[in-house]
Formats: sequence, structure tokens, C-alpha cells
Amino acid sequence: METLLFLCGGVLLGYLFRKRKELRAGVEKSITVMIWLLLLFLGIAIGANQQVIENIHVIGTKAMVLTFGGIAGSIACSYFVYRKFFKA
Amino acid sequence: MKGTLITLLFFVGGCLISIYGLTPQALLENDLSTYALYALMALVGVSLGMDESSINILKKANLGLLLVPISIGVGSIIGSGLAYFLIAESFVEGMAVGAGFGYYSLSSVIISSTYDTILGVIALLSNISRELLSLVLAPLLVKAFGNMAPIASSGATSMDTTLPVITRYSGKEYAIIALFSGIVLTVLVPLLIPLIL
Repeated sequence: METLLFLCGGVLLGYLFRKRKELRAGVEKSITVMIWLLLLFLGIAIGANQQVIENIHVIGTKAMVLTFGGIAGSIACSYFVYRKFFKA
Repeated sequence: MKGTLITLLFFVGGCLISIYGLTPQALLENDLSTYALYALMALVGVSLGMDESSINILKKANLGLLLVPISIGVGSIIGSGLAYFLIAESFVEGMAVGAGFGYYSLSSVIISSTYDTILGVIALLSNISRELLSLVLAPLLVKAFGNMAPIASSGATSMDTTLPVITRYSGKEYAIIALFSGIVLTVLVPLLIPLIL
């Protein structure tokens, strides 16, 4: 939950510096690097976790179930919007 | 595609480092990932705050356009939650993974650092496959469910990686809708996941 505080603080800071366009590229690059770093940490945590390595097929199956649920749900829900507002 | 591969390499690299016992002592003693996540969230915030174009695009939105990302987001979260519940897992955890909207890098690191490492991996795999499936299935989805379907399945990725495919199969007039929907959903990922979990 405290992650939201950092997010909001960041938005405020970014808004204050919105005219400093030269900073933008640096911010985007830093985001990419931070994500790389965190995925490296996630990989390290996973590699040390015997439970994950032994159950990778279970984890993979769960992930696919979630993927199909998400895709099906989003298509179904947005279909009504499509029919009402977009389809000629 | 190149970006996806580089991102995955870091994850796989991390796995290999720890499997071969090469993890630096400093990392074992301190939980740096929490601080790294705080820094990341602040940076994401800064980039949102600086970005006037996303505010301008919102001003142009009419009701129909606004309902596109909302319906996709709601459908995604409920759909994943329900699917997870049906295989006897937690509805809430399913909703959190569904709220990644295909933005696999950010969603997986938020979930793994604030909630649970294994669910973070599930989010990584699930949201990567969502992006890949959306790329591959786009023509089929248009045939079966109409022009909006690939935008829905792409989720947050409809603003960048899957945009070319959407433009090709749904038509050029859907590019701006895809862009809008993708931007809104991307902004929602770091907001919704902490709220759900």
C-alpha cells in the first residue's frame, strides 16, 4: 500500500518538473533499468526457491488459466461497449 | 520483441545466479527489492506527472471511448479472478494477476515485492503469454468477436507492442482507440494491484 504513496509523490514531483522536457528520457531509462534490476532480484528469489523449480508445471498451468480468464473476460465485457458505441 | 527478450534475460539471469549459488552476500542479507520497488514506483509517478499528452488525450475522451479501457479492465480482473476461483485458488489473487493487463514487468515486480514471490512469477508468465497470445490471435479474434477484441485481449500493451497488429486487423480507425485504452490501462496497473492485494 505504501507503494501508492511513492507513486503519488512521484506524480506530484513529475508535475512540478513537467516543463523540464530534457529530464524525460532519463526518467524513462531509469524505469527500464529499475524493472531489469527487480526482475533480476525476482529471478534470484525464484532460483533459490525449490518449491517453484519443482512445481513449474503447476505454476505454468495456473498462469495460463489466468491468461485465458483475463482475455475472455475483457473481450466479453468490452463487447457490449463495442456493440453500443462502435459497431456501425 | 527485443525489449521482451532483454527483460526476460534479467529474470533468467537471476534464476541462474541463485541456482549456481553465486548470489552476492549483500543481497542475501538485505531485502533490497522493497527499496528498489519504491524507487520504481516514484519514477513511474514522475513519468506520469510529466506526461501532458496523457492528460490531453483524456480531455478528448467521450463516453464510448472512456468505456473501452474501463470495460476491458473490469472484464480482465473479474475474468482472471473467476478463472482462478474455478480451479480452487484465491479469487483476490486471480484479480491481482488479471490487473496486470499484460504489463508483465511492472505487475510481476509489484506482486513479488509486496505480496508473494510465487504469485509474482505466475503474474510474469500469465501477462507475458497474454501479450504473445494477443499478437498471434489478433486476426482470429477480429473474425470471431469484432474489431474491439484484439484491443481487449492486448490490455495495456495495445499502446505499444501489439499496436501494429491491432491497426492491421482491426483497421486504422481503431489505432487511436487502442492507444487510448492502452495508456489508461498502463496507468491503472500500479494503482490497482496494491489496492486489490
